[in-house]
Amino acid sequence: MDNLHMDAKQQAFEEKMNKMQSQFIDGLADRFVEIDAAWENAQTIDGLEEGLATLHELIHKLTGTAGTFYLTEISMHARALEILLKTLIESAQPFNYEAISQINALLAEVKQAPTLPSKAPATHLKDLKLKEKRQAGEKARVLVIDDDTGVANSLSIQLKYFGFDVEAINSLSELDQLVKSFHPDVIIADINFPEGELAGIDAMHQLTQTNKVDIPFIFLTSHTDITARLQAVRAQGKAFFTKPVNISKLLDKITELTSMEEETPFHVLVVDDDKALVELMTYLLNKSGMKAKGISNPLSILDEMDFERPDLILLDLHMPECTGIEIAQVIRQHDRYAHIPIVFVSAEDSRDLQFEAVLRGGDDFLMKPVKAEELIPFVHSRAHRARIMGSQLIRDGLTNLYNHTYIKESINREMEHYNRDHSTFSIGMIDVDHFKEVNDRYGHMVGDQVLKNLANFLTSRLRKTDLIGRYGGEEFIVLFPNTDKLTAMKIMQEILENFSKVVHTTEAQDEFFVTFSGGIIDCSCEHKENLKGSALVNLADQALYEAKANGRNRIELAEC
Amino acid sequence: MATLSKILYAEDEPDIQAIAQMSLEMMGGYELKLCNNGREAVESAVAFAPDVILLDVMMPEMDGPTALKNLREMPELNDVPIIFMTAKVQTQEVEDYKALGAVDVIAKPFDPMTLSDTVKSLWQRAVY
Repeated sequence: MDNLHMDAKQQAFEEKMNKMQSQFIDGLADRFVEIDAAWENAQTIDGLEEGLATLHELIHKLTGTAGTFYLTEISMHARALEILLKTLIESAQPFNYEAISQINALLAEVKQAPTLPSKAPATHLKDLKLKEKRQAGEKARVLVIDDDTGVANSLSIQLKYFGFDVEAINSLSELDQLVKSFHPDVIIADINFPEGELAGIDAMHQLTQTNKVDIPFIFLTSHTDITARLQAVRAQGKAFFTKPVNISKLLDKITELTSMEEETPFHVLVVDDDKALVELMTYLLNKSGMKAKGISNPLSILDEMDFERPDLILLDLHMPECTGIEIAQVIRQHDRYAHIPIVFVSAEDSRDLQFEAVLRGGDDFLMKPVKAEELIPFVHSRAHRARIMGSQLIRDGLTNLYNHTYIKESINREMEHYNRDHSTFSIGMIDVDHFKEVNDRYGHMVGDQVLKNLANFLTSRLRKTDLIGRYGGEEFIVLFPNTDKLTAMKIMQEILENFSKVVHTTEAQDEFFVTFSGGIIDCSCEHKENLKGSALVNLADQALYEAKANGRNRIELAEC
Repeated sequence: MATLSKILYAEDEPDIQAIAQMSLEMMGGYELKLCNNGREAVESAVAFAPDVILLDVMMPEMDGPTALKNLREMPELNDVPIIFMTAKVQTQEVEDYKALGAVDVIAKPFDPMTLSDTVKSLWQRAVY
C-alpha cells in the first residue's frame, strides 16, 4: 500500500540509487587493487611518502562514497584507517613495524566489511515516515483514557507535575484518532466502559493488532477479580493497577516502559604516546557512542582524571616517560579510582609481562594491532560492568540518587572546573518539611515512599546534566553545572510549587501533601581562587536554615 | 526576495558527483553545475552565477580552501554563500573553516535523501 502513495519522484530516485549502489559494490574489487598497489609502494624505501599520500587519498574517497551509499561499516573502517594515516603523515611518526601491522589490520577490516547496505534506501524512507522517534530531551507522552472524568483529570494533573506530556480522553471512540495525532509513548487505560465491562482491554488488544508501532499500556481499574486480570494478561498489558492508584508505583512503571533513563555514554580515557593510535582509538570509541578522550602525555593523567572521571582507562604498556604498569600503580594509589577498569594495550605478547601488569593494578589486556571489531565491544562490556558495580558504591540504596560521598566529590570536581575555566555552577540544598511528623503519623514505610517520590520527581524535572544526591536522611543536594543562582532558583521554585501539589497516599488511603525548604548558592559568591567545595555547601546550608526559619515551603538565596 | 535555484558543486569523485546530481536536481529541483576540482570552480563560478557554492575539501589541482580563498576575492560572488563538504566536523575544525570564509560545513558522507533540504536551510540562514 505504501508504494501507491509514494511520490513518483522518490521512487525514481530510489531505483537509480539502488542501481548506482550495485555498481559501486561491483567496483569495490578494483578499488581494493588500487589501494593494495599504493600500500605496496608505501612499504618500499623510495615509495614511502608517495605511497602513503596516495593511499590516504584513496581511502578518503572510499570513506565518503561508501558512506553515501549507506555502506556504513566499510565507511567506518575506512574512516578509521584514514584518521590513522593522516595522523601518521602529519606527525611524522616513525613508520615502524607496529604502524605497518596496524595498517594491515585496518585494511583487512575494510575489505572484510559486509557489502550489504545497512539501510537500503527503500526501507530508509519507510522508517522515516512511520516512526516518530522521541528526541532526547522531549517529555514522554502519556495518554490517559477513563470514562470517569474525575479520575482522568486528577491523574492527568498529577502526571503533568512529574514532567510528562499528558492527554486525557473519556471515550474509547476517540482512541484511534488520538493515538495517530498525539503519538503517546505509553497508554493508561481503564477497563470498564459503557461499551462493556472489559471493553478497555478489548480496545487495547485491537490497538496492538492494527498498529504497526508498539505502544505499551497499563490498566487501571476498580476491578480486582481474576477474570479481569487474566484478560489483561492475554491482551498483553504491561501492568495492572487498582484504584486509587499509588502514584509512585505508577511512575516507576511508566519510567520503566518509556525508558526515560537512558544510559549516559561511557567516558573512556586513552593514554598512549603514539598519537596516531590515540586518534584511531578515540575515533572508533566515539563513533560507537562513547565519549573518548586521548592524551599522549601520560604524566598529565591525574589532572585529566580530576577534571573528568573516566569509566575506563586504555593504557599503553610502553611509553618513554614511564611504563603503563607504573601509571596504573599511581592511579591505584587513590582509593576513589579503585574500581575504574584499566585495560592495557600492547603489542607485547609475553605471558609474564601480561601477568605482572594484572598483578600491579591492571584489569585486562588488549593486543595491538587494534581492530574495531574487538576494541569496541570489549571496552563497552568492561565499562558497562564497571558501571554496574560502581553504581552500588556511589548510589543511595533507597532513592537511587548519588550518595553523600559521591555528591560531595562531584561538587569538589565541579570546583576544579570552576577554578580552571570559571564556568559558574550552583548548588541547591533541600530538606523535606516536617518529615518527622510524616514518619510519626503514617509510619516509616510511607516516609520512605515520600523520599522516593521526591527523588523521582527531582530526576524527572531536572536536566540530564544536573546531579542529584541524597545528602542525609531527608536532605538532598542538587548540583547544577553551567548555571547561575538565579536560574537555579527559578528551577527549584517551579519544582517546589509542583511537588507541593503531588498527592501522597498510604495503604489506608489517606492522602497528604509534602513540601520542602531549600537554600541556593552559586560559586560566584566567593571571589577567591582555589575555593573549596565544602565552603560552598556550608553557605547553602545556611540559606536552607533561613528558609526553615522563615516559615518553610520556600527557597532562599545565600547571601554573599 | 532571493530564491535558491542554482548550485555549483566542486567534487572530484564521479560517484559522489552522480549522487549529488540525483539529490539536488531530481529531488531538489535545482540547477546544478558540477566541477571536477577547485580550479574549474574558480573559472566557471562568475559565468554560472550560482546562488550557493559547495566545495569538497580534498581535490586535485586546487583544493577546497584554496578555491574558497580565490572565490572570496571576486566581487561578483560577494553575496554567494560557500559551504564545505567534509568528513571533518569537529567544532574546532568547523570554526577554522568558517574563519576562512565558509558559512558552514556539511558532513560527508552526506545523506542523499536530505542533502537538498540541508543546502536550502544553510543558504536561508546565510542570506536572511
